[in-house]
Amino acid sequence: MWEDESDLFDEMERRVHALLHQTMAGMHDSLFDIDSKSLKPLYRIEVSDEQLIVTFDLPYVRKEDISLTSTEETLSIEAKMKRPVTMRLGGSIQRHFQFEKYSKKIRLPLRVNPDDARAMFRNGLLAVSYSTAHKGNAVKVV
Amino acid sequence: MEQTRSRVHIIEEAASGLSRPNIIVGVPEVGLVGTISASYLIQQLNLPEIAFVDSDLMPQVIVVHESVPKHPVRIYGKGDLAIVIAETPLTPRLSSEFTAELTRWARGKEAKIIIGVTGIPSRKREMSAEDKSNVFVVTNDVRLNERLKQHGTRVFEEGLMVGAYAALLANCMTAGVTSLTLLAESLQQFPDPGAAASVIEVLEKLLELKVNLKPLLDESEEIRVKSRELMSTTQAVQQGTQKPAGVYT
Repeated sequence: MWEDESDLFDEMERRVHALLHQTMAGMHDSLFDIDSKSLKPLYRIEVSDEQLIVTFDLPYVRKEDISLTSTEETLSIEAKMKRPVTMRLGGSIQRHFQFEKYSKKIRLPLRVNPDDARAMFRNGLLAVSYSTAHKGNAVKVV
Repeated sequence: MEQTRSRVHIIEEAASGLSRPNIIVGVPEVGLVGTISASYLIQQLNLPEIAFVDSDLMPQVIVVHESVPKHPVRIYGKGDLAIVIAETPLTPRLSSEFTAELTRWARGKEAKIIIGVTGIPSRKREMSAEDKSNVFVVTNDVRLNERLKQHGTRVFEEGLMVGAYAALLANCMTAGVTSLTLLAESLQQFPDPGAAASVIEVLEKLLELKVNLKPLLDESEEIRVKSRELMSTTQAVQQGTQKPAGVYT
């Protein structure tokens, strides 16, 4: 009985590790773009009843060097760093690379009105928010 | 005789000569506060590596630093200070067995205290212009609360702790080892060196350490860039397994 339960937990643990390793294997794709010398920023998407907020982590960036473009379905960012960052990439690459900017295009989880986007930059964090509250029609109860 | 079937082992690489140590533990969770502060302290205090953690539950990961392969969870220390650092996120099963083994090891060393250092997610941190943040305290020795208040900390009065630090505190409570968790208000999903500096300030006063915090704050942008991969993996593991503690103030 104990052995069986233990096997079950081991299996769950192995799955978490498999996920972890998939994530690590895909890391270069998700965090770096060597060809364009750009880093893909860490970001977070939050959706509430009122707002959709995308927050980017942008160390080494000045406000005036951020360029944002939004459509109803996507948000693109390009931001030059105030100085290039040299990083050694692992895996089969094992070389130093210089990165000069952040670049990322995000597919938004819901349709937005890009005209009503607002962006705020504090301490290297950029928060882009859209209103998700739509004025509705009153529903009559009969 | 206590029967254990631990699947985690702490392997000492050399006679450490530790004597009744204070043990600081930093593993990657909220804002990477634990790993950033442990790594900075090890470097600033020039502590030698004394042990590593071996387990079949550990992800099959070796960290290569300047061509030298290293286990991802290691212990550094000398005299009355030991620092445990993890450079890989710990899954729940591993957290639980690892903290149990660490508590046994600490008892064997007659440790004075085990101090977990980490972050607590804070929304206002994202919009604050401050480098430093508030530090909350949870301890199984209530007398410490008073002493720590003098060092500018706040008592964590209500709420849940989850994850590796909760497991550590739980094990210490069971084993009767004095334990303290320092939780700096922190960015949750982005590395937060400022929050790490805030916990180090408390440790400096509590343990009478001499640490120069200026390089940590001056190089915070570099640390944020270089810890992106660990933050991303940590986030993936945490999303798959648990939700972090919430602030109730």
